[in-house]
Amino acid sequence: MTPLRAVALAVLAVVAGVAPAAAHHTGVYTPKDNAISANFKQLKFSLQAGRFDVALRLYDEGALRAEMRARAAALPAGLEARTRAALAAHDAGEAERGLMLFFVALARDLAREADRRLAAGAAAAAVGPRFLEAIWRYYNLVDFAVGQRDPRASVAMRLAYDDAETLTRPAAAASDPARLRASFGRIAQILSGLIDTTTTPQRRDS
Amino acid sequence: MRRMTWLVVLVTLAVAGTWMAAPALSQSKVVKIGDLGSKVGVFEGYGKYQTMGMQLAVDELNARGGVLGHKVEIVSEDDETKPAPAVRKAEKLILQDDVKLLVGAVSSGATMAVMDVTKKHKTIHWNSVSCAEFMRTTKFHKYYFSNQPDSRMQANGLARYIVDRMGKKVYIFYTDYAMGQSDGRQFKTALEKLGGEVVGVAGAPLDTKDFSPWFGAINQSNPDVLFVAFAGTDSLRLMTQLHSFGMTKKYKLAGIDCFLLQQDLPAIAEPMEGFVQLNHFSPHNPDKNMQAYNERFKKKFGTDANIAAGSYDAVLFWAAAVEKAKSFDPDKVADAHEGMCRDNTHIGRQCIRKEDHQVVMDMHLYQVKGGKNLPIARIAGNDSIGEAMVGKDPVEGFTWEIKKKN
Repeated sequence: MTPLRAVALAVLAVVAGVAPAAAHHTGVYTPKDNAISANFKQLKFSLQAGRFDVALRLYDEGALRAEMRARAAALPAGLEARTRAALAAHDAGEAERGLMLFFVALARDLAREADRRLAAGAAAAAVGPRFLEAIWRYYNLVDFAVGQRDPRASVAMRLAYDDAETLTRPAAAASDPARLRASFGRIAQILSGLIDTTTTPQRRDS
Repeated sequence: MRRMTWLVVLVTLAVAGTWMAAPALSQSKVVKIGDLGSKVGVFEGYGKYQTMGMQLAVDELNARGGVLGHKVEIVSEDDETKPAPAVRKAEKLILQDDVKLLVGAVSSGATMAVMDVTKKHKTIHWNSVSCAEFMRTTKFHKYYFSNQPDSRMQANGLARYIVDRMGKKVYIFYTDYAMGQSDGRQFKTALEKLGGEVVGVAGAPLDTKDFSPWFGAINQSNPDVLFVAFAGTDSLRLMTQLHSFGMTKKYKLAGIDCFLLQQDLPAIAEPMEGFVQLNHFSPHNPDKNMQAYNERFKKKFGTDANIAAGSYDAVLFWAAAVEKAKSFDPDKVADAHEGMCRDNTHIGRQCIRKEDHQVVMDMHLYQVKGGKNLPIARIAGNDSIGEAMVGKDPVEGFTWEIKKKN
């Protein structure tokens, strides 16, 4: 990762409007939206309503695509163009897959960055909750899409997040930053595997 | 003569065209209905399928002329699976969109919060997913209806099957907050009424990562059946740990339908093998009504339906009540719902009980085999619904005390 990318990620995590992740029942908890997640929701609801024209406009003009372009090097090759082509072709399934890959990649890179910062000696109590909140903000958006393609990865990710969330509570983070690092590493590993297995479009039987 | 023939043909076509266009013209009027639930995130599997079930019903209604000559349109809102946004969105649907029916929400906490809104604004409210016991008891109001079997119905049905077929000695292990306590006490009450014996109870705090400290007590009490009342990642973690300690093979396991998200089953198929739970819909059930519904659903959406199928019937019940009342007036429509029965719903015949607006319907017990919920028994609706307890605590006087049998 280039220094520029690391800075961009850090800014992303902070701009994401983070608050410490509170104890919650995984799945019920949803962080506040930022410009990217809000744009995604508008896009998703347009797709669900069959309004591909609106979805395409939201994609072309929104924060999500701008972020996709800015981070193109860290994403599967051609993801931004393929997602746009799917929207233009009214292929909701393929558009959903493209968007899923984008958010999974965002969450993965945040997990990697958190691990890197902890390795560099950053305070776990400061890094952990902020990055975890940002990771969940993005991953939660696409968990259902992930589960439909790879149920094991969806379950593994929720369990890994749940573990990490416990470790980010003030007492735990102070006492065991190594375990917190391992937890972020596990999240990054699950999401990397998911990107590898879902980047290629699946053949449809029907 | 030839000109005359053409004239007759043209007039006939014009008349036929006008007649055929009549339903479309009369549908220039629109009635909106609200769809509230978890549309993004982990619980999307329920919220999204709720929308799809409603859409299927609306398509059928509009194809036959709508409701009271009005075309039906759905307005969907994401409640973020939280009570506060659910209340905000419900008010938006009612006050801004003027919906005449609100279906939702998904989580019980959100649904109960929304009940205050629908009561205040006199809006017909159907619940097809949430299963807390309080909605038809302490939270009940005139405009609220439900075709989701709540935890009391599920406990009654499950307890009967367990006592008859699985074993009388049961250990209850629950997550120690509202949901788990509610399920656990409903089940204990039902089991003891039917002559079953609770040989032990334990509550594990929410977010427990290691359940093994409780396993010793479970093994010591030597139950026939282990009843588990957990949800979310706690369920996933518990089943994995029970499996690794060999306890999924040693005991018969059972729980209610909130135990596991349907979409997670394939990922945790091995620990869940043999698990028994009560449910009201599975695409793998050969029941002719379920198969007929699933076929229509699959034809439209290209995927199997799930347990949010009740939203389809909720819309059709509401439409039938509006037609019966000949009005969208909420008081008249609420009255028209009471006692109404419909055949050919996604699960066959359903009737709305007048006293607590709970739908009486047969439920099916399923056992997990190879990652699929396969039907093993059918529980008559009248055997599981329990008495109407509007305004009362359904388990008043309850105690966790274990009554030892000789």
